[in-house]
Amino acid sequence: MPPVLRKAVLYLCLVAAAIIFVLPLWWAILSSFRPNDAIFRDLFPFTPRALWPEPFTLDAYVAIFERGFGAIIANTLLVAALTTALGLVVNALAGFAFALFDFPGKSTVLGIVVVSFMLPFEAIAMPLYTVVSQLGWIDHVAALVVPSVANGLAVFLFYQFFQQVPKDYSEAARLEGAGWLRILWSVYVPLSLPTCISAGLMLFIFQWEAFLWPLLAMPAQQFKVIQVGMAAFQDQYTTAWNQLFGAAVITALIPMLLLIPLQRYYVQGLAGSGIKG
Amino acid sequence: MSSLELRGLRKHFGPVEIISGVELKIAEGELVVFVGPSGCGKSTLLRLIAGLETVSAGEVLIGGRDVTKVDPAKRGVAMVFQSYALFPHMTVRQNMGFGMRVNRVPKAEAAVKIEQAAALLQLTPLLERKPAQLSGGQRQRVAIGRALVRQPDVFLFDEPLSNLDAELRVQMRTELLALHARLGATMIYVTHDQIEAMTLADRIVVLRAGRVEQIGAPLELYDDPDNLFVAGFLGSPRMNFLPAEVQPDGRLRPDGMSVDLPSPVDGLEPGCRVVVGCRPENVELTDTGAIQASIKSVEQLGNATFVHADCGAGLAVAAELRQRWSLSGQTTLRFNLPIAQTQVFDADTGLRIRK
Repeated sequence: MPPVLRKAVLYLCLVAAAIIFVLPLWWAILSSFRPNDAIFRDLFPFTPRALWPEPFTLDAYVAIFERGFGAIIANTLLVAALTTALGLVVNALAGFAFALFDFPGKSTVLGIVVVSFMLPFEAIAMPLYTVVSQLGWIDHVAALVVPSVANGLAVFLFYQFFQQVPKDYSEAARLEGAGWLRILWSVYVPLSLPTCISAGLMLFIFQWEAFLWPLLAMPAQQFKVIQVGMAAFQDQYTTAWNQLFGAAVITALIPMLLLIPLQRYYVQGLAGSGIKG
Repeated sequence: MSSLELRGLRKHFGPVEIISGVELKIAEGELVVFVGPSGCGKSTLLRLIAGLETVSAGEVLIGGRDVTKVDPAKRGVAMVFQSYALFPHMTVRQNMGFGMRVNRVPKAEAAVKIEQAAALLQLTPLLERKPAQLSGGQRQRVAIGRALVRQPDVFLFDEPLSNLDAELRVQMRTELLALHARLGATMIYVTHDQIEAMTLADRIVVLRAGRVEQIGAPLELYDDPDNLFVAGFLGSPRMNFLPAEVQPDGRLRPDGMSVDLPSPVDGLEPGCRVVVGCRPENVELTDTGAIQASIKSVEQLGNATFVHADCGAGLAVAAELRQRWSLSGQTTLRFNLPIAQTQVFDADTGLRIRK
């Protein structure tokens, strides 16, 4: 086979593979711009019109926001932002302590931290519910934020990075009169911006994707977050498919808008930690 | 500036003793160099003085004040690290002013101190640059500047020139000497480089395995070492050592040779084992020399020539000549060790015999 032809076949295969992967996403996006009764119309039997938003309408998005999805997005942003901000402080402090200080039982505690991020959330959901319930936090924002603040993977990311920072920096700062918190804030944090961004995005996305815990911790459903809110588009007898797809598009779009400009740091932070994302 | 005193200073890491009872007094304004091979404890000793390591036993006194348990920042010391330890995200100005920001020195006062130090170290045009934009020598100067603005009682330097190339090291040595002369500050300088030690120090402290082997002025240690270690450590090529036995007539017979050398010390007991030491520059090459050796190599440095030879029985001897010298087919040479320039050490204890 001539090289040009071989290359053409290769590219054809790649394009076909790309279409297979992108198609569901594309179909979800364009379905959000169709009336609900037109979504499956061109699929069975399939016609190319299924891949084009025709008839085009923004009704789904109007309906989503009329049903209060804007408040749900705001709720989730609040919870995710609070978790990220508090989480960065707590996990950076923990990582700093593990990296710089020697104390009895350090390796055991670090081992528990590492194991904690390998546990599926379902395994701790019920004990966590009991604790939160005892604290009287059920149906309170604190129930969503506080348990997610300490994150084993984020602690480990910070620990890994801080351990690689030469000790000369902290010693030079100590000789200049800086206390440990000052050393963390003025020396270690500015050096670990990629790690901070990685850990921050990770905490944000964990919270953004949370479904089971918000469902358990907020039974009154007065304060809904995005994944729980999306589930409401589907009830026992009917499904507002176009609204569901519209909500899914918005849900995917917000973290993507955050992730894309910071992607370089995110990948750098995870790669630097020796952990694959 | 202040004096510094170490009293019975000890440091253990677990069961291993790194510093074994160091006693030392450093006068105000003195530049003292700690020198010794890798792992001898010189950097640990400096870190004990700085307070970056806790003392296992003994005391550290700065300006007569016991600072053994005082926080590093409150000891009145400033340290220049081997790695420079400049904060990479800060400019030169921010690096130099970090300590003053931490200690809430008024901004105007801090700015004046930074400008003064920068002018002294020729850093003024570089104040807004970050460390990555500086050469090795410039980084070194910033590290010194950061120490300088603190106006410490004692400056501590931990192998500060070891990351620089040979030419820059010579230049920085000169600058450090000029700085010391100008400030008149008490300085302690750690190095494994004997040339740095010889050229910088008012006094040298030679360390081995956590113990002080000898303290003294550079030439005093070079000319009059107390033991084999100091004699061998200072000088390049190192002092020649010939194991020998004291003969009944008091002369010394090097092992594997059939000639006796006159002894520079009287009263040595016949049969006693000694080591004869003679520096390469004192070896006298002459056709009528008492000792014969086969030539192994000749190093021409331009201003000097080093001849390395083997006297048999594995005894290597180096000779330094001030004139050019070529082998021209010669495979052996003869030499004498002038009695006035030889030293005798006890073969068992390694201590100098000065009787």
